[in-house]
Amino acid sequence: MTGQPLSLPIPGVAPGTARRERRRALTGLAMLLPAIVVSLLFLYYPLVFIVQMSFTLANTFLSPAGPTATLENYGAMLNRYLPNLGVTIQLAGLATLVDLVFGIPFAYILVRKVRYRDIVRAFMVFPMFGALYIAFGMRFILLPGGPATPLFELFNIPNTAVLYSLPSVVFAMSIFTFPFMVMNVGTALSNVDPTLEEAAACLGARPWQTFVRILLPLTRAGIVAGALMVFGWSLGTFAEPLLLGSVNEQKTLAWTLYLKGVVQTDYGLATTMGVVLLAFAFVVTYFSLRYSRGALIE
Amino acid sequence: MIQRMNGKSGSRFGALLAATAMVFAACAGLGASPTPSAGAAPQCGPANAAAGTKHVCIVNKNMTDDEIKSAVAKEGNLVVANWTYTANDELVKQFKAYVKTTYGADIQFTYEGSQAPSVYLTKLYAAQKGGNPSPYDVMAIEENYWSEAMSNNAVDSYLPSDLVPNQKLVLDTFQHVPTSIGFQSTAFPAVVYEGSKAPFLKSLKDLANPALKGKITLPVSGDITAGGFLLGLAAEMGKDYKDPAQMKEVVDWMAANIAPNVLKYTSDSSEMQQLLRSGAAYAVTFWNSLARLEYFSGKNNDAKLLLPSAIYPVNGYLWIPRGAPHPVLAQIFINWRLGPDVQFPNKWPIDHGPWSELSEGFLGPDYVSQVPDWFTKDYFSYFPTLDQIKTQFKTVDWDAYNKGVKQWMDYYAQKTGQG
Repeated sequence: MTGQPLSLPIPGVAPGTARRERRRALTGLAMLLPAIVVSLLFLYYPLVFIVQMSFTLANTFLSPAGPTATLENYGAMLNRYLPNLGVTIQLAGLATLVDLVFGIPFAYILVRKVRYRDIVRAFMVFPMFGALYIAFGMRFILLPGGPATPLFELFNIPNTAVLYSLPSVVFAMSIFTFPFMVMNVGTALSNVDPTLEEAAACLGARPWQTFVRILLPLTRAGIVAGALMVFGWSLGTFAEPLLLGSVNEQKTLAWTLYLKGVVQTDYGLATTMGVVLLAFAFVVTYFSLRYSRGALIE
Repeated sequence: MIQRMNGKSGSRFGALLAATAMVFAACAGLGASPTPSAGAAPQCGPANAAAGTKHVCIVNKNMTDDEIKSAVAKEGNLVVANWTYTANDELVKQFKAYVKTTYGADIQFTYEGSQAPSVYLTKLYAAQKGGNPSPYDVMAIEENYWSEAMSNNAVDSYLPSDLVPNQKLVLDTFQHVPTSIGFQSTAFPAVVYEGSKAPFLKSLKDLANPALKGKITLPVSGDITAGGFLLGLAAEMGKDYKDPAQMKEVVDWMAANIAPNVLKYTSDSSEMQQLLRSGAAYAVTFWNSLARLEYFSGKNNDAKLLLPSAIYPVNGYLWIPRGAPHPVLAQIFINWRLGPDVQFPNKWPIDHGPWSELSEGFLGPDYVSQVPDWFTKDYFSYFPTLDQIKTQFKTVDWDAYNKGVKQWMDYYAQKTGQG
């Protein structure tokens, strides 16, 4: 046996491996580049402007004389517009609550009982195309002289008492965001093996016990993700309070932002409200993504 | 292992993001720096064109008819910013036909309509700030916006111009030579009410009557509808709208006495019409044109227009923004819009309601004969006479208004719970 040198491959230093890894990384980066550029240009670049504008006085950002720097807008946000933020959170919270109460049973029926669930899902997605249509539709139905008038007359209730009210705003918001809840909860439910429910039933568990002890823990992530998503979407609510709300509901930050920015051209204050809403939306989106990932994995 | 890798790429990504953010912040800083002003607009002196030519101030040229036709064909496009009229499509059709007949050119004509004209100003300022051409050729919006745009150096001079001969038909009261001219004479925020249900309404202060509890609408805070309403109320109360402190007193009185009667704060005319017709509201605050629309709708014969003792008109004015890309067509449009047959579009195939939206009073004596036969009997129930226009309508100092309005409008929003 002649002593031939052994050429055993040493992990991590095989010839050409490092080059291939580098090329793969560069290819990956090149494929991502268009998305990164588009995001930076059309998403983050405008955001930089918005933040910058929020530190300028009124409409001076666009004035020929140049912007006047100020912290007043954030002061006004703290001293004057916190109630508006409160109303926004209140409406979003109530809409989330309504969606939770009706969305979980609906998702259960959809996943477990409905045979043609794709058709049902397709119909459900419709509201997501426009909160404005929903609000206009509801206003048309509820306005005096509208289709619901005979019903109001039957119970001797003035149309406007229902139309311009907190419940009508929350109801319209809930309809718009309902699919977010059902889809998240539905996805989580699909991952739960139905035999677990059958086993629980065989062992004598009542339906509510099965729900509380089996389904709720196993779909928790989907429920939380759905709730956060509904809440996040509802923070920017605009059309429903405008068309259906009383003066109190019309205080939502998105509507106030519109009034300040578009009607009164106070871009500084409007963008400050936008920054606050964006910060809120970011936090909610972060948690919703975190939990929805959990829903899919679990 | 996975966590470590994520951490590593995360830190790289963080560094990349931070660097990018700094670059973009720097770029944004550059973008936000004030652009050098474009120099003063040329002042238009009296038209002094050579024989056979027309003096076109805004381009500072004497042009022959052929040159004008050539310029129209070359421009070939016009964008007008106005309100949302029911007859917008007809307006576009009529003007395109007019250009075709008079100048032999087919043009693209975009007629933008918005009930919040401040949107136009935002777009205009942003374009001018970025050194871009104006997105609009003609602004046809309320006088206060012209005043604001003037203070932002955003308006071009175009009067007098041989392309706008109809200027001479318009009373001096409705002209701001060289930059704008009124195309309305009697537009004002007003109260429209049900005559049988609120017969006691004789002044704006009467909106405080307890019989109107939950039965009135007021304008949403912020825009000129609310501003005009408060100007009228201030006049009734003997307060000076130029003094923000006095306007605050007006708002305080309104909040204490009228606000409790409010059913809804809205500037949506279709909602107001439905509330009025159904009896859910007895009085709505909008523009005086709503009374005519109700009259012509045939659905509400009881709607009346409240004429306050002092009327501050907030008329629409025609002006050309600095950097408008189609200045010749812009002037042709302005002249056309001021023509008696367009101010009173009696020959257009439109109903009486849309007609009454487009026609907003006499701009001068040459228009008086244009009142159509079908409206002769009731015209002066909805429009003032030329004498009334000259004597009873007050003029607004828009500079003073714009200086104080933010303060007291904000107060109005606060006191009425609108934010």
